Amino acid sequence: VAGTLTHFDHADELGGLYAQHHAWLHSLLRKKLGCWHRAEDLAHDTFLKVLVSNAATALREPRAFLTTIAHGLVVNHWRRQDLERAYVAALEVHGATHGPSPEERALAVEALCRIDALLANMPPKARHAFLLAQVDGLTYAEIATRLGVSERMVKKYMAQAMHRLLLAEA
Amino acid sequence: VANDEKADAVRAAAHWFAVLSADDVGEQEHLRWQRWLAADPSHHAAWQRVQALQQRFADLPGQVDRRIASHALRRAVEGRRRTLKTLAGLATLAGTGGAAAWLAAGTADWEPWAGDQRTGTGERRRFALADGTQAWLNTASAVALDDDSGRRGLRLMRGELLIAAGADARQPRRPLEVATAEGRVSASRAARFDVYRDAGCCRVTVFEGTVDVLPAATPLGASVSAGRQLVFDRAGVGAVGVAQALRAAWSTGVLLAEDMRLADLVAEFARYVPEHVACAPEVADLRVVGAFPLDEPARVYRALESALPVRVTRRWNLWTRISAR
Repeated sequence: VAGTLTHFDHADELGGLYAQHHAWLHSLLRKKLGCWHRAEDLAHDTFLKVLVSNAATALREPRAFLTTIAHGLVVNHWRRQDLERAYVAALEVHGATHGPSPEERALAVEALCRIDALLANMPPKARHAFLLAQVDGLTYAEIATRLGVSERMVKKYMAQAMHRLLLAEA
Repeated sequence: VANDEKADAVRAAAHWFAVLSADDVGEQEHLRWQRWLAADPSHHAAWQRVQALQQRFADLPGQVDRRIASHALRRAVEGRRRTLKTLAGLATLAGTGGAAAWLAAGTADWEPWAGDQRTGTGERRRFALADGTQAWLNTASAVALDDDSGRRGLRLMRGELLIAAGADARQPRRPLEVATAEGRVSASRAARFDVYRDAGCCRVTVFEGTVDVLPAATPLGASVSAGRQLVFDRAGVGAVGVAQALRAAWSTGVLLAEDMRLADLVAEFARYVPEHVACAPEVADLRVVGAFPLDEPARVYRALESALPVRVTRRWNLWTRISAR
């Protein structure tokens, strides 16, 4: 990361960018998120990302550049919130006897986000089968029953899922 | 050519992963895999990547129950579809009016409006079925009548429904059934119960009588008796707990908090108002007892401010923040 920082050797440049566009970006994010504080957080994160990215583009097309970065952060934000909600609901469904502490919960959601990012854009059935096998540790026969398909189909989903993962990672 | 070979090796590695993850792997299969592995360095490299990926899925913090993690990951996809649609819709919105419309869309479940009865945010409606069963539809909810000769049925598409069912007047008696995407809730005798559908889960709370719950994707259901509640999704039922009076009190226009966390109260209250309501973490765990009028948000906020060390900040009727005073 240190290397990329050299793009913004001149703190003035970033300062200028911030002064000129922060209010605009904040209002854009506020409309997207409906929350002043979250907008503030994400605006801050956006400028942090600019700091470690390509300054030339940022300075040439500042608003387009900031919008692109901010959009990515908003998507992540909602994704994270969906995961957190799903995690809490899953705890309840499985009748967890005691809820996790805030720290444990944050760690768990973090881990779920990492796994979820790997599975982005995977076809739903392949994703489902893959999670049941790799995370729940179910057998193909059990997965076949759960999904209402043949074991051969489960094997096909597994190959498809792993193939996607390998391609996405390459 | 080298790229093609690499692509083939990757495809073959994925295939072998699926073969070897199966329940029973034969000796022959194993030998064939080993031959493939040894045949070319690119095979070996591809296989190592398979193993590294597997490791990343095994990599959960120790205290995280794997079943729960998997459950959450599978369910989050449903929320995802909603998010993507919401983001797509954003492009056409502008100004504060747009933001308000978007907030409303953000809390919507992504099922089309197909209900015979539906309510907007903050609305409640009472209606009766042909057999005399009384029903109340809570805020932002939709329900369709689904009667046929064999049963008295309702389909809850979104939101919350409270039912006071009498015994069927017709013979033979037909059970009263509430169906959702997650499964079926049915009562064969007189019963009063609430079904609340949220984020791929249903909560059933029973006040009188007994109801049976049958999730959509498993034959293993459960019975819930008066004074009990249970959460279920397509894949199964959770543990039975004590019914919250809150889940019936809304039909009288009251949010009933019986020693409730402030954050939970705020989340519940947020369902009834168009604006976004957020609770700051430092006050989230304050306990609240009280009956709050659902139709008068301003009074609710004033009551919270007078009973708790909190400040309620409202902005442009778009969001409300409850933080420490």
